[in-house]
Amino acid sequence: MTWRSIRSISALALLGAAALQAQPRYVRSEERIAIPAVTLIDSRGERVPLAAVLDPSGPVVLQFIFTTCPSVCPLLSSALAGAQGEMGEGARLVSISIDPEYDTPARLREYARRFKAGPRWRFLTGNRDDVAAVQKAFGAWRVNKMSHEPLTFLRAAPGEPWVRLAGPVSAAELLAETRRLAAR
Amino acid sequence: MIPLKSLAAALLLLAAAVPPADPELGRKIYQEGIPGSAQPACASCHRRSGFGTSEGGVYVPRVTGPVLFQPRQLRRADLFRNLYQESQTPLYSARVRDPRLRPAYTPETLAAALREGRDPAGRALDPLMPRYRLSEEEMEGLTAYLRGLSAVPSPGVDGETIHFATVVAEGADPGRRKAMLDVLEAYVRWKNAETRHSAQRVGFSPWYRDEFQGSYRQWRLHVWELRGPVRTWPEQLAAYERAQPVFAVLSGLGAGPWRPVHDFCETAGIPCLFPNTGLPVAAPPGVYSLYLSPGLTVEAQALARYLSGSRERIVQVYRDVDEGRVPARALREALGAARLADRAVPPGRALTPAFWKRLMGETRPAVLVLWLGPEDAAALGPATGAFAPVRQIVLSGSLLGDPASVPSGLHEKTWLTWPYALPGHEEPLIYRVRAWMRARGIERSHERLQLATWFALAVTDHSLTHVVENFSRDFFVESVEEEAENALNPGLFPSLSLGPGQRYASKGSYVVRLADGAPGGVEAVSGWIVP
Repeated sequence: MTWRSIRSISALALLGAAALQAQPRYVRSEERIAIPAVTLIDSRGERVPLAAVLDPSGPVVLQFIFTTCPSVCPLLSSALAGAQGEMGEGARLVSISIDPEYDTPARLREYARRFKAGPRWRFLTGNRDDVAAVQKAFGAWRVNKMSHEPLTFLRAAPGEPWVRLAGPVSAAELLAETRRLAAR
Repeated sequence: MIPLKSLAAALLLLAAAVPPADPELGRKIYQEGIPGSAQPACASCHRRSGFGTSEGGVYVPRVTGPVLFQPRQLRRADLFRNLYQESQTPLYSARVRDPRLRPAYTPETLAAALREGRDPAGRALDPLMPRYRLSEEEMEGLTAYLRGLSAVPSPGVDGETIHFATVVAEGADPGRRKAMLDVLEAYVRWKNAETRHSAQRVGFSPWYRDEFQGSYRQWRLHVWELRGPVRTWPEQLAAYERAQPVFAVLSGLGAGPWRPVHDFCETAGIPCLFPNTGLPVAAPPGVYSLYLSPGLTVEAQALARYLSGSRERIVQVYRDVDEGRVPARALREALGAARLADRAVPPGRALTPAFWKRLMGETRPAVLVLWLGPEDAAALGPATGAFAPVRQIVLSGSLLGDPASVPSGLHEKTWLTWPYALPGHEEPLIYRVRAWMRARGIERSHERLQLATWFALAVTDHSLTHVVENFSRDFFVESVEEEAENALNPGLFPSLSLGPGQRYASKGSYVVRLADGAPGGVEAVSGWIVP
C-alpha cells in the first residue's frame, strides 16, 4: 500500500462520508402533471379555480397537508414556514388539504396562523371529489389519509415539469431546491 | 473524617431541598408541551396513549411505561399492521424492520435521549425527534409520568373476556330497540364463534394467526337501560359501570338528549362509539365520545348555508323539545335572528289547519322550515291551502324518517335536509352487510339504524386487531380514528372518516326535494354541504 494510494483512499472516504452526511432524506424526481380543471375553496371561503392559483408566472411550491395530521404535516409546513421569507418576490406557496371535509376555511386559517403563513401562502380545501382529482393528478392519492406520503412539489414556471420531493424536507433543503429550479 | 451528625444533617437538608417528582407536571409537558416552548408536545406525535403513529411514512415509536422501562422487545404481532398491512414507503418499511435493540431506559438515559437525542444503546434518535431543553424538575416529572403511561390495561378486559355495553334510553321506540339489539347480539355471537375457532388452533398456525393468540377475547355485551328522569341517568350509568366495568360503549339508542351519556363517557374516560342519536353533543368535541354525524345541528347549518344567498323571509316551527330546539337554535345562529322568525309549539298541542292559517297570515314566509316528526308532517295535509303563498317548505329528513310521510299535495314544494347518502348510489358494501343480516335471520326493519350499528361494531372489530394485546382505551380510540376511513362505510353516509382529535365521522348534509319517481323518493337540489 503506497502512501499515495492511502491518501487517495482517505480522500475518497472523506468525500463519501461528507456525501452521506449531506444525503437528503427525500427522493427527488421530475414529472409533468396535468392539473385538473377544478374549483377549490381558499381559507377565506372563496371559490378559486386551481388554475388561477397555479397559472400565473413565477415559481410555485405545493404541499398536501391536513390540519389534524400528527407528525408529518407540521414538519412539512414548518419547513415551508422557515423558507417562505427567502423564496423571492414572485414565489407562491400552496397547501392543499387532503381532508377537505374536516378542513374548513376556518380550520385552514387556524393552521395558517400556527405556521405564521405570509400573504403569498395560500391554503385550499374544497369538495371531496375535486380534491381527490388533484391528489390523483399529483400521484398523492391514498384511500386513507394517514397513509399519505410527505410530498413537496416545486415548479419554476407554468408549462415546466414539476420537481417532486418525496420525504421530509428542511427549510434549508427547500430553499436549495428552489434555487436549483431558478438556476435552470 | 466527617462527623456522622453533620453528614446526617446534610443528607436531611438535601432530601428536603429536592422536591418529589411531579407526574402531573409530567402529564402537562407530555400533552401540552414545555411551558413557554414552541417545540411540539410529546403527545402531538407519540399520541395521548403513548403508542405512537405510523402516519405519513414516518414511524413514531411507542413511549409507554412498559416499553420505555424494559429492554426493547421484538413482537411481530404488535407491529403487524405496520409491517404488512399498511401501504408505506421503502424508508418506512426499513425503519420498522430495524431491530434497534436497547436496554431499558433509566432516568439518566431518558434525560440523555430527550436532551441529546441518544438512546441507551448509544444510537442517535431519528433526526425528526426534537432535542428538548428540560430542567431537572421537568425531567423528573416527565419520567414519573412516563412510567405510568398506559402501564396497566384499561378496565373492562380480563384474560378471557372483553366487556362492552350499549346504552338504551327510555322512550326509545321498541321496534328500533329490537332492530339495533338484533344486530349487536348477532355480531357478538358471530365474532365469538370465530374467536373460539381461532383460539383452538394454538400451536398449529400455518400462517401468522398464532402470534395473536394472546389478544383473543370473548366479547360480552351488556345492555344499559336508562329509565326515569334524565337527571338520574348519570347515577344509573355510574352504577352500571361499577357493577361491571366495560372497555367501551358501542352504538346505543337515544331518545332525547344524549348529553348525559356523553358527559359520563368523558368523565369516566370510556370510549363511546357512534350512538344512534340525532342529538349528539355538537360542540365542544369530547375525547372519548365519537359520533357518526353532528346530527340535527349539521342539517340546520347546511340548510342555512344553502339559504344564505337569498333575502327571503324564513319562518321556522318546532316542537318545544330537544329534537326541535336544537336545530332551531342552530338555524337561528347561522342565519341571524333578523332573517328568521320562530314559533315553538308545546308538545301535545295539535297543529290544526287553523293554527297554520293564522301563522301564515301573520308571518307570510317565503320559506317555512318545520322541525317536525312524521305525525305532525302527516297532519299538514288538511292545511295544504294555507301554504299556497309559501314558496318552499323544508323538513328534516332524519326527523321525518320516511319521505312518504309528507302529504302528497305538498310534495311539489317540499325539500328535506338529508344528512345521508343519496338513494340509488349504493356503496358496494351495503350488499354484503344486508346478506350478513339475512344469513343471521335479522329482520331488516330499520335499515339506517342497523347499518349504523353494524358500522360501530365493524370499526371496533378492526381497531381491536390493531390494538392486539395492548388493551388501552386511549390506544383503542386512536385506532378507531384511523380505521374509520378504511373501507368500512356501509353506505348510510357518503363518506365516513375521522382523524386525530376528530369526533364526527360524517360532516355534512344534502338538501333534497321530493321526487316521486326517483330512487328513495328524493333528488338532490344541492351538493353535499359541509358547513
